[in-house]
Amino acid sequence: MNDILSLSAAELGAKLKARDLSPVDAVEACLERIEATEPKLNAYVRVLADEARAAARQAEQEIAAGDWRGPLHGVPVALKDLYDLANVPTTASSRVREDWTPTTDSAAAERLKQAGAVILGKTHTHEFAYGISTPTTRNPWDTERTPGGSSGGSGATVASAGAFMAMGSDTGGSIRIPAGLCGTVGLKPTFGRVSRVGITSLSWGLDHAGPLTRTVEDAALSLQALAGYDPRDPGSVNEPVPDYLAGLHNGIQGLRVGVPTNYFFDRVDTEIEAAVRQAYEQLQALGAELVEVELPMADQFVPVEFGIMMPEASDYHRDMLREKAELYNDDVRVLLEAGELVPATAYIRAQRVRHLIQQQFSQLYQQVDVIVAPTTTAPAVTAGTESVTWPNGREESLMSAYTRFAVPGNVTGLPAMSVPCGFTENGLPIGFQAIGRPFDESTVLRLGAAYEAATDWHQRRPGI
Amino acid sequence: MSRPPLDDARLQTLAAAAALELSPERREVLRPVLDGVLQQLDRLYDVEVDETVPVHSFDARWEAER
Repeated sequence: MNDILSLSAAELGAKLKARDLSPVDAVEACLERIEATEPKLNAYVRVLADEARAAARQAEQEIAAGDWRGPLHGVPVALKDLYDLANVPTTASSRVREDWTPTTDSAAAERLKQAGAVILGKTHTHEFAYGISTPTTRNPWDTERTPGGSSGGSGATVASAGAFMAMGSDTGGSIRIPAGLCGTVGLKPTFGRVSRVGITSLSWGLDHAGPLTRTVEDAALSLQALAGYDPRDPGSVNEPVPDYLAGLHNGIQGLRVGVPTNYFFDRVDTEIEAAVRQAYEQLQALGAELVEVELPMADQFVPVEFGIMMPEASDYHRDMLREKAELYNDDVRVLLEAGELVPATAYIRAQRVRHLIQQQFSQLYQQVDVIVAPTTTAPAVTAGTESVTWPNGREESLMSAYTRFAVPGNVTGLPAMSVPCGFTENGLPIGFQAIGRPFDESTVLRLGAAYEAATDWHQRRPGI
Repeated sequence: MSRPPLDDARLQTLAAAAALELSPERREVLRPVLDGVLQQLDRLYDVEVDETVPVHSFDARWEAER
């Protein structure tokens, strides 16, 4: 593998700025890597080789002329195929949308281009982001297994060094789940922090946009480029954007880290629980104060999530479902049909209960600065697996098992970031998620950076 | 109050109200899924919401004024 690919985005960006490396070389290294791994991973719907080469040449000229745009200038990145890119089809990994080509960029693509990033291609998603396995794609750590989803292509390409960063979207864990299962960092910012304009919607009330990266620092500099108010997105919030890199390496002395006593350790893989409990010890050794907390209204997280997501998704798809039902995959089609039959009063009740959860989390965070918990209940399962069986014999659908720990972050809208924190005996990645206060991504990133500096999990690479 | 299991006749009524055409085969696939979803959503009514308003709200300002 080309040495360039062992760099983080931040390291690459610094070398590009210093002209020690060229964006053209970085893009060629990624394209070669993608070509070598795609037969096994199928992470991409579309690789934009010619466009990426042209953008790399332009970045090279701009940097040489002293017109440096920032740490992502010339850095190769990828977009989940829900993000519009002008004159490139956005398929949402679905036959339903294979003939649709937008004429404008999504807000995120626009911001990344402004930051000088080079877009390599569009990555696979679970169809319309409505699922957690991304069946088109495989996990670089074991190509018999799922990369998770719905941003599975983004997780697979970042983990296998095909791109230095890839965008995901997270409605019920779809950034954090593939990050956890593929061993990358995955940041779901606060609801309203990053514009969703030009991203195919799953649920307007729960969709979040954010990056999957190899390091926490890369997540911080990606968020710096992406964050900001966008009046075109009704969910966007006009909140000042801080400098996410400024205090990143200031450590976590005295930080109050919440350790859940309920919900997050119910029905969880024993190796995942052990790794996360070891991470607590590491955080404590770094100066954090561990505070046991009981999550309020935990039995309502999943009903609120599905009570909002299902009707919203079904309304978005209403016409397409009537015109092209046979083109949907079975698992997505049945969820869209079911969502049409959820009573409107249940949808409204979910919005009211969500408000109560928000109020109670506000109280909870008087005790802590951040909560740390496992990202997923289980590591990557064999592709095609539809359920997991727990030691007590209880069977749980994979959708439920993978989303269960993720949905509190979506229902509350709080910033949540998955960070690699170990491996199973089978060599599969494990992640924890740090969940912060509203618009306090800085603390989440600082915790992740401190943990990352003390461990080497993020430096390990799959053998593919 | 526990919800009776969803039978085919109820499902047909719900689908007709939503103007959603479903073949017998589709209804067979959908029925257990919807039954599970509705039972899960019934848990929302375990919460005493009193006067709590929904989280979403309407902003009457025009775009340029936000």
